[in-house]
Amino acid sequence: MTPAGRDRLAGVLLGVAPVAALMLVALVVVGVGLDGAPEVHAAFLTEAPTQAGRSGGIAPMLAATAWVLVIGIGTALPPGLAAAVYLAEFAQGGTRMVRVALDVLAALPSVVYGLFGMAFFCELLGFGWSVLAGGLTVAIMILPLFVRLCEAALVAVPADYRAAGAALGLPRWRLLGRVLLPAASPSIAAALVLASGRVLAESAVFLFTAGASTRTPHGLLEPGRVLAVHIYQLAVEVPGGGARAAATALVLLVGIVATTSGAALLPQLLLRRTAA
Amino acid sequence: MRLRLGDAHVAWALRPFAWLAVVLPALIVVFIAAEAAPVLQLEGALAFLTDARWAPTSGVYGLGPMIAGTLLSGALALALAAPWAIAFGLHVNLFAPRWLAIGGRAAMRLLAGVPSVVFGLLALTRLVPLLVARHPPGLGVVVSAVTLAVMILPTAALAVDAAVAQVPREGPVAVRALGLGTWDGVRAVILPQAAANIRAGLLLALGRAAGETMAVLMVAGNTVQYPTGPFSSFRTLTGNIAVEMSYATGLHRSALFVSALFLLAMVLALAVFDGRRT
Repeated sequence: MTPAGRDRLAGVLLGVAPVAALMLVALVVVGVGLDGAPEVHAAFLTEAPTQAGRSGGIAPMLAATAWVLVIGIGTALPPGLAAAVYLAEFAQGGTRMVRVALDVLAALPSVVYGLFGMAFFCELLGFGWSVLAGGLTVAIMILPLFVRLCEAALVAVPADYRAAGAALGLPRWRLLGRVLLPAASPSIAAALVLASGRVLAESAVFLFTAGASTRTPHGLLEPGRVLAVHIYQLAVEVPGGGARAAATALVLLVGIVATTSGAALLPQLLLRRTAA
Repeated sequence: MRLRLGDAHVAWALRPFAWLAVVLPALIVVFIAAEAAPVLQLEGALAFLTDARWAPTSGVYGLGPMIAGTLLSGALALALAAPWAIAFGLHVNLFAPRWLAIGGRAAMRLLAGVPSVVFGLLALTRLVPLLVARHPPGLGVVVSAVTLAVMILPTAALAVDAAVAQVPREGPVAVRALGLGTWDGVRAVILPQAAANIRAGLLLALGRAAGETMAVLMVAGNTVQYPTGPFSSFRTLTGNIAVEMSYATGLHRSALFVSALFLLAMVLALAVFDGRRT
């Protein structure tokens, strides 16, 4: 076979992979949409579930998801950004151990975070099954991803900015506040959104730390069932819950896609504004 | 480069946050180990490997079937996902028209964001009904491996994509100058040079598969037994924890934390292996 012939054959055979990936996305959308779409209406989003979720809505699950999202992201943001700033701007060697530890954290399965959160936050600190315990546990889970992304955002700021600061005799922390952080802020915002996607998709952590109560959480120390856990419960524990599981999955998928496509667009939008 | 006075103070104030990253994994391991300690002291670590039965309420704690289940489902998932991921990474970098490269990568990023419970749900509602007539109840090794493969595919595919993109273009250009084609360049230059990073990406995906809880929990069947065939119901280490944690107390609960320790050991061994090679 000629080289050109080999290339054509390889192009066709390997091309099955990306085409199949597109088909898989279609399969997920259709598979969830067919069962779920007929069940989604305004009341589904505003009512509490009845008959273990076979009827009624998912309002308490939306509330629980919002709680853990706000607590998780809010808790991870300050230390995560501080660690990233240190690693990118102030560390003078000796960070190898920190980086290895971040890799280890990133490799831990979510069920391990869940068990740790249960033993530490729920039991030792006495938070019980609560959105607080769930939010704090998931904050630890997203920390390595967030630090990595923020550090990359800072490192990606053009070297000219630092050189200009040095030429002006600015201390590094002034440069950081005035120039580097503002310049990196679109990518940091994108990192937050990506981390939010992780929180929304997580289920094992919340099963062990936030519980599966179908009541609406009204405070930090109340339990709550997030959307992902609701999908699991409906699909496995509730006979005839499949359609409602698909409807919940549809709502969750739309939420995740809306957030993550926000992550892709955010830097451009923010940059345009700062440039104008 | 030395920091100036103000900078030194800021660095000093920020340093503890970086070290938080070191403290947290240590804290997590210590807590899991402390909860596992009571039953480990009583039975010894070996009992968890040598006993073939798991009857925690009667003091029999064999984790062998669950370890086998985790290894088997992970390995099968990787065997399904790896060729797909490698073909994907090569095609979008070297062969695909622009629209397919962009669309394929967007698809993988979308799939990476899909919650594992949604894959589990789809497997239950779309895949299991196809099998249930011939192999009731349809749950078990095959469905779990397929579900896991789909779940880890984006991790593996995007890693291979990055690994292939990192290979300098001079090699393939030189191969072309010899009158050979892109595929010859793939075999002679790109695959050998990207091999280490591809392997690291695939190991990362295998770690994901071993650590996945909910999707497999939904389709594995969760019977404690060594998997005997493609439609055999089985249980993973993670599934063992999720199924029993809600009602476990005392030594039983402690034994579930031992499950987590074994899982940790497997995943960290993978991470170390991967770190040593690259």
